[in-house]
Amino acid sequence: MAALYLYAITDRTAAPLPDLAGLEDAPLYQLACQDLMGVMSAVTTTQIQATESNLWQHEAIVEALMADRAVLPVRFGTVFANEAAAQAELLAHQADLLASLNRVRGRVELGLRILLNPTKGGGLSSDEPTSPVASLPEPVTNDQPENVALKQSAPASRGRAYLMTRLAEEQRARIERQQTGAQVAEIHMPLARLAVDSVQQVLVTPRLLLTAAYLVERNQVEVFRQAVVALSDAHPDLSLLCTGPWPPYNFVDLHAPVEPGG
Amino acid sequence: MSQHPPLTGNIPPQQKNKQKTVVPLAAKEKEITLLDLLDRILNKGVILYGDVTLSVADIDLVFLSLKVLLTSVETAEKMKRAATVRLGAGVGGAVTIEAPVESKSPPKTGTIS
Repeated sequence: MAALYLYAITDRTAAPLPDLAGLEDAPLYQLACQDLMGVMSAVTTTQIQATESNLWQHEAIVEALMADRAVLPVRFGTVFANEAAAQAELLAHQADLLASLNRVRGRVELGLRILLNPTKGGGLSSDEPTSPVASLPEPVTNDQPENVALKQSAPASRGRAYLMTRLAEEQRARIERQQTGAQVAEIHMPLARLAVDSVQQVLVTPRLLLTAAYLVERNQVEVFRQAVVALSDAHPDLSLLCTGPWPPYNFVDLHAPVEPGG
Repeated sequence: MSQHPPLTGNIPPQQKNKQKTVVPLAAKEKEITLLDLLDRILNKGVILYGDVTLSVADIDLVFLSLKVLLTSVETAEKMKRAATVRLGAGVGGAVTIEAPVESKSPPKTGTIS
């Protein structure tokens, strides 16, 4: 069965396609659809494997396109039965796709991760005496003699002790998030000012304080990079990892279906 | 030409993987860049419902299971939602996701959670 694999959506342009092969070593070709173009290749299998090799091959094509035209990267694994099906889908979302293309034209995405360095003392999750959480009620632990009595007490008391522990944990977690938010704001805000748009996620894991993506004008990439270096120097307890330029994966408005916070 | 080296830190530039020969990277750099790629290419970008559903079962769980947890718990959850939402697009049977992300070997049925 021959189907069509979609890598990216671009403007209608006369620019030649990059000299790269598609998946299964098939040639790339462009499918015109009014004011849009889909960059595609024929695939014979319905089982498109998301192997490292295939992922990078797909990505290389999208990035090569990005070198000389506005590009909307398409999620890996998008396959249509035939041209008519692909055109119908592109037409159905044409207005949104064109708006997205306009939004990303001349711009690239830069990614940032902020990690807490493990070599530093305790970090946010340790119970340092100077930490604000010291003012919270101590969670019930096995070390405390009071707990021995509790364990031997009626279930109601144990239940209450459990809830108190959970409450303390929740409060500690909330304070950690607030502290982290303030700390990453010092880094995120100046970078966001250099960008057209940004998305961010705080404290994905205890060490990963921030994951963010910035939509940056091409001619601002170097300025942005230097800003990251400067911020990195200013925060020796953190590791700042900036990657890119990426195709604007995080700045495509079109999702089907609409995902909250997507 | 655009590259994917981490732009900061003392990590040497990475050669793009689009030619036949690839300059070997330090394991750490490769991991980091692959994570960034996964987070984007599997979860973001234009999402259109084509006629053939990507078989989530075929994703290489060995590297996914180790890395997704580090950088994006939400990615795994979104993939889970996306996979369950895309049932019925021509692939017979349900694609369920259930194995914990810490699992180091790909489950036979190719599931992740």
